[in-house]
Amino acid sequence: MSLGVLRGPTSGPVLVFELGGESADDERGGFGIELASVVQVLEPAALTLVPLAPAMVLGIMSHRGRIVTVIDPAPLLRGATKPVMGPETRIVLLRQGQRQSGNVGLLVARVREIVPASEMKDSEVSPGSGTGWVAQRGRRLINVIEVEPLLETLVRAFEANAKSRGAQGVTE
Amino acid sequence: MAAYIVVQRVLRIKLAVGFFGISILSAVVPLVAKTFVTDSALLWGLTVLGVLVFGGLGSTLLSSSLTRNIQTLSQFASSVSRGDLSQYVKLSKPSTVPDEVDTLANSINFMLDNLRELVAHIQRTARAVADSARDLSRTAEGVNASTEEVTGSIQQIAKGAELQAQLVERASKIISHIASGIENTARAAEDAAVASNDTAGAAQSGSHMGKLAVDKLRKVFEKIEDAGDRVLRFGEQSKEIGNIVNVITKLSQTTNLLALNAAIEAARAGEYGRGFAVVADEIRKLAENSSKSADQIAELIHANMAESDNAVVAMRESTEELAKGREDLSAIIQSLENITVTAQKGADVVGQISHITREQLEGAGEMVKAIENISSVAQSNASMSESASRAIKKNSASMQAMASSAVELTNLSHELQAVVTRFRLQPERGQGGA
Repeated sequence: MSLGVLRGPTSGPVLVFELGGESADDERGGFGIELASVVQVLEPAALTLVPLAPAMVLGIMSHRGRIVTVIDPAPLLRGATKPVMGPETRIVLLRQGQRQSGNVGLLVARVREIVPASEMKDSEVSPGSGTGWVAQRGRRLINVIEVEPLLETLVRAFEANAKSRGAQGVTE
Repeated sequence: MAAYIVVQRVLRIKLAVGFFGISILSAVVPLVAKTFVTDSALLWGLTVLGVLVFGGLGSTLLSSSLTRNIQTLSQFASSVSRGDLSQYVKLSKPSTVPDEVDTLANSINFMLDNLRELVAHIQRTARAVADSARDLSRTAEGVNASTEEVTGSIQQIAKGAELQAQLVERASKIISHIASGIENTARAAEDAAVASNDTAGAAQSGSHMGKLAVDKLRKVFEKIEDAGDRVLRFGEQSKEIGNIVNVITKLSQTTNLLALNAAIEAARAGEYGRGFAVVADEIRKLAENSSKSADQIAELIHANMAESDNAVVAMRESTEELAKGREDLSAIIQSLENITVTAQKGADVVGQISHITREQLEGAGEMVKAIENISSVAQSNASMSESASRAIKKNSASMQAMASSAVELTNLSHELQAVVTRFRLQPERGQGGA
């Protein structure tokens, strides 16, 4: 996995959320995403499975006539294997990036809050994550995920999957 | 003596007849001589001589005939005195004109007939007496033997009577024992009757109490069922509240989401949306609090519903248990009623037993009296047997005396026969009359 492009601290607010399997303790930092990269927070709808999709892709759903690919970042970010669906599970619809990844939604266990930039103090880049940086709010540390590397990872996963299917077709 | 008197009379008669004849001749002779003789002296001498001659001749003739017949009678009397009654008196010279001797001979023959008849009768009677004495002796012996047997039997009867008296005494004791046992039984039966009546009364009281308990239990059931209905209604209401809370929660979550998205939009608007973002965030926080409160309410309702469910379950279990208890109680009441009926029947039966036992007791008393009567009769029999034994012993002695008397009578009859046989009633063969 690539370390991705490291960006500097943002000046905008950050949407703080929790991933599946994570403790709901508010004292822990959780994950965050720049609010500028977020289109909307949706309630989880019935997902349609995508054949031969990468493991991180949970399925697709329709939102206002648009197809949204719902992915679970937990295996990538936390190593969790199974998505945990709860009453507070939400889908964070991301704004389309530079890559043509289409409309992508992140499955999160709970949206905690919107933290203004003024309440955060930038920290040094999170070592080894390759997907963002760490912002500090009081004693809590928030892993702010950068959307572009995440989408890049998704696209590459699709491409690798397609390649492996092509190789399988040639050998067959 | 009688024959002598008869002979004397006969002689007197003959002499009178002779003197009468002589007198006649004496009167006739002088008359005849007077006619032929004139001399008186001679006449007188002839007369005297004639008288003497005719008198003597006549007397001799008369005396000889009289003597011969009397001798015949004397010989006949001698023969009779030797016991020969077989012959009749036959005068050697029967007179043409029956005189007193003939009359005497006839009388003697008549007497002989009577004597012969008498002796024959005596002989027959003697034989009969001998036979009877023999029979009597045999009978006496037989009676003696029978008397001994009777004595033995009477002794056995006496022993039997004693044994009977002993047995009757034992039977009396046994009957008395049985009577006392029956009395105890009667007392026990009366006690049992009282106990059965008490049982029946207790069972009836228990049944009544059980019915009261069933009524109370029914009321408890009704209250419990009412409480259960209330709890169920409370559960339903709690469910409705839960539904409402769910709606509130959903609304809160939706409001939260809307507020979140509004905040996102406001943030995207930059400085222009800052105030709106604050309001949206407040709304989101309120929605979040509402959601938390709704969650708390939902938890409380869930807890209440769980409790009410538990209460309902407990109520149902209690109701089922109470229903079982009511069934058990109904069964107990039924059992008590059955016990009442059974105890009443038992009391009736025991009463009948008591009545019968009382009758048995009376019967046993009468039996005791009867046994006492039998005992007295047996004792009387024993004493009577002893008396009979004594009487039989006396009788036996009498019979022995009678047997000896019979023997003596036999001997006497033999002697009588021997005496009577001396009289010969039939003429011996080849022997003519006297």
